[in-house]
Amino acid sequence: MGCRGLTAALTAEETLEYGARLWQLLAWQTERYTMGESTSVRKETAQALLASIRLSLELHFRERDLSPRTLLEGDPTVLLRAAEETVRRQVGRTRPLYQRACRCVLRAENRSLEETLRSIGGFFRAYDTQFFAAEVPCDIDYQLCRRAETGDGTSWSRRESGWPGGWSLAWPVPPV
Amino acid sequence: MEEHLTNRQTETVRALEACNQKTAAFGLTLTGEEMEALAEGRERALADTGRVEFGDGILPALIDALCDSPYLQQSDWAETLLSAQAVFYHWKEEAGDLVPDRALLAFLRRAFDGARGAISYLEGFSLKELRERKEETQWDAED
Repeated sequence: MGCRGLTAALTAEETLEYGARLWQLLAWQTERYTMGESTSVRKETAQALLASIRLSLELHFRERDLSPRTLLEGDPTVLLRAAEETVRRQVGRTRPLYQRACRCVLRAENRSLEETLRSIGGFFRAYDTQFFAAEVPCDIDYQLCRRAETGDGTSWSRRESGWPGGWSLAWPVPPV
Repeated sequence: MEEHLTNRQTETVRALEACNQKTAAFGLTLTGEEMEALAEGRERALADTGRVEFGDGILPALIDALCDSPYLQQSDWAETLLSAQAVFYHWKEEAGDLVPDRALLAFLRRAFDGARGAISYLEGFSLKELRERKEETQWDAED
């Protein structure tokens, strides 16, 4: 189930239970995704749904300073709904950053940067916080001045672009 | 992950035991050995088509869709189900996520009766080919 990292602090038995809970959430989420109309989905769809669940939980735990053991208590579907809300809030906080970046680029006259920013704008329309939170529906052509850190799943990172005058921009980091 | 697969086969067999009670009215029942073969067939078919499934899977609904067909008999009930299950998953993979199971099952039943119970006939066609043969272009909203 690939729970290492987040579950490093759990005992072996707790890690097994964590994996079982993720499986339970995947079954529940798959039924939501298919609206109960299909008993099966493509393997790639299931993998994407699972990556979304893991990322949403990770972001929620981090924001609320919760232990991964939280998943082992109570109804996991309640926790996942709360995690989805956390993801929506974080996306909402990113939008003003993007809008500020767009205002800054008007002075840059850099085509690569303009196109990248336009693509990121599409992200806010296409990003699925409920089922595919680990997928980043946009392209980045603009060369980052610093190597973006990669991690497990997708995370939003604020990076200094190195553009004269400097400004902070939330860059989506592609999933590993 | 392996632990879950083993549990799933057990769940499949339990679901089939429940189905037996209904299909007995049509003179169709499955032995324990046949149920295990169907459970194993489910895993193979899912692996072959690259699909993931939870819960009891499609078998109970498939049994429900077929059991009152006039072209079924006890002697080949298990074998028919095994083949029909494989056909369903291949067609599901071909149809994509937009076609609900109930629509696909309804079509499978129509095709099965149209072939007078010759499930092997259906195995030779893709979903697209068979629908073209039967001149079906839209999925019936009532399916």
